[in-house]
Amino acid sequence: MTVAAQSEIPIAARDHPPNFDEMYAAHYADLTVQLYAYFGDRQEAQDVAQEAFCRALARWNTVAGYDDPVAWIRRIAWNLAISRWRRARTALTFLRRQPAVEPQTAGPSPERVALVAALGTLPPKQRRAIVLHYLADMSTAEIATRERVAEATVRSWLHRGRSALAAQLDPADKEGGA
Amino acid sequence: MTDQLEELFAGMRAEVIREIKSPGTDAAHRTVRRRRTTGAVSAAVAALVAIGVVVGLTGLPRTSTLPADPATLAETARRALHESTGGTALFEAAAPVTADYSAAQTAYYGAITLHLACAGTGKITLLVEAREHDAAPYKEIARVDANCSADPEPTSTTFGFDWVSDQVVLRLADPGTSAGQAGFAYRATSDTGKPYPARPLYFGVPNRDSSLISPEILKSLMHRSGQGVFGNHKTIGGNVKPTSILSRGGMPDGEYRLLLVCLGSGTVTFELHHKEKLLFRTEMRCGSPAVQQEFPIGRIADANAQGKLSDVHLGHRSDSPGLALVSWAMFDVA
Repeated sequence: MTVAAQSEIPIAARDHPPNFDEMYAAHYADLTVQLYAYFGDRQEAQDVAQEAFCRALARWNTVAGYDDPVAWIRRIAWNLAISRWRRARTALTFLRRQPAVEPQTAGPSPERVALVAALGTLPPKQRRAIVLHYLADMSTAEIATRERVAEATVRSWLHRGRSALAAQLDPADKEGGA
Repeated sequence: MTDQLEELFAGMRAEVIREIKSPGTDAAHRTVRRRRTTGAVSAAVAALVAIGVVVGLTGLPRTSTLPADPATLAETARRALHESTGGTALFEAAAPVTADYSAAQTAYYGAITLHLACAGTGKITLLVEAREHDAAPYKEIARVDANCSADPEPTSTTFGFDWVSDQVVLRLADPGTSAGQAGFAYRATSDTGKPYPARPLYFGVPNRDSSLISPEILKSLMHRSGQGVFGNHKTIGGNVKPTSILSRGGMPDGEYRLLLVCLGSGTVTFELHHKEKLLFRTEMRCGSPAVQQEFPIGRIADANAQGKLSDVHLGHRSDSPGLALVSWAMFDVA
C-alpha cells in the first residue's frame, strides 16, 4: 500500500524541505474534514489523519523530499481510511490520559446531519469522489489518477453521487418537484 | 443542486473545522518515538525467545509420560465449566493444553467475566490480550489461573476494555508440564445480558458515526424546531462525577426535551446547568441492548444574556470495568 502511494509522487530534490510542524498546522484540519465527510465520524477522522501524519513523520526525511508531501500524506490517510487499520484501531486512545468523559463541542447543524447521512448512503467510490472533489478541490483528472481509473469513470461517479445526494437533500425532488 | 452542494460542503467544512481539536505535533512526535522504542524492544525480545527455544529443544530432558487423551480432558473441563456458569456466553472454547494455544475472539461492551477450568495435571494461565491498532503490540489486559485436576474447579476473573478493540486474543502463558497432560475450557459471560460487540455500528451500517442515535432520528428531532444539540461519549468503568462536556454561549429560547441512550455497564448521570445553576438532572441505568429514555427538561430562556448559559455535564458510575457508550440529544419541542 505504502509503496504504491510512494510511486504516485515523483521524488525531487528540494533546496528547502518543508517543515513537518508547519505542514501539520496547515493541513491537519482540512484532511480531517475530508475524512469526516467520508466516515461521518469526526473522532475517527481525527485519529486517521493523526495516524497519517505520524507515518509521515516517521520517514519525514524522505517524505519532505517529495514534490508534494501533502499528496503523499493524503494518500496514506485515504489508504488507512479504506483499510482494516481503522477497524482495529483505538477509538479513543487519549481517553486513558484524559478524564473519562470525552469532551465534545456543540452538536452539528441539521444541514450537516442531513449531508453526512446522505453521504453515508453513497457507495464508497462515489462518496470518495464527491469528497475529494468538493472538499479537497481535486479535479476529475486528479481523482482519476489517484483512483487509477479513467477520467470518464470519475465523471460518472460524480454524476451519480450528485444525483443521489440531490434526491436525498432536496425534498422537492423526492416529492416530484412540489 | 451543484451550487447548493458546494454551499453545503463549504458550510460543513467551516462547521467541522471549528470543532476539530488537533492532537498536535507533540503528540505525533511522542507516538513516533514510542513506536521506535517498542520496535527495538520487540526485536530484542524476539532474539531472547529464539535463544530460549534452542536451549529448550536441545538442553532440557523431555518427559516420556503419555497423558490421558487431552481431547477427552478438554471435554471434561468444558462440562465442569457448563455446570458452574450460567448466562449467555460471549465466546467459549475447549482444547488440549499446548504451548502455542492462541485464539482470536470478538470484544464486547460491558464487564466480561472469563471462566476457566482445566482437567489433567499441572497449572495453566490464560491470558487475554488486545492491541489498540494493527501496528501496536499486544498488551495483556487480563489473566486467570487454574489448577488442573481430575475434578476441575472453575476459576474466573472480570475485566473490561478502556478502549474499543474489535478483537481479543486468548493465549496460554507457558503451560510447562501441563502441555500434553491436560485439557482446558473457557467461557466468557457479560454483565450486560445480551452480548453487544465492541465498536457498535448502529443498524449494522459501517462508516457512520459511533452513535446510538441514528442520523435519521437526529434529523427528525432537530427538524421539529430546527434547534438542538447532541453528543456521543465513551466512558470507562469506575466512578466519574458529572463533568462539563459542552458549554454553549447560549441556547435558543425554547421548551427542551432530552433523549438519552446508554449501552454498557453502570449508571449515567446527565445534568444541564443554566446560568451556572443546576436546571435539570437525571440518572439512567445503562444496559445491553442499549437503554433509551426521553425526559422533559423544561423551558430555557434568557438566551441572549452574557456568559455560559448552558453547560452539559455527564457522569458515569459503575462497579464493573467495562465501557459504556452514551449518546444524547437535547432538542426544542416548541
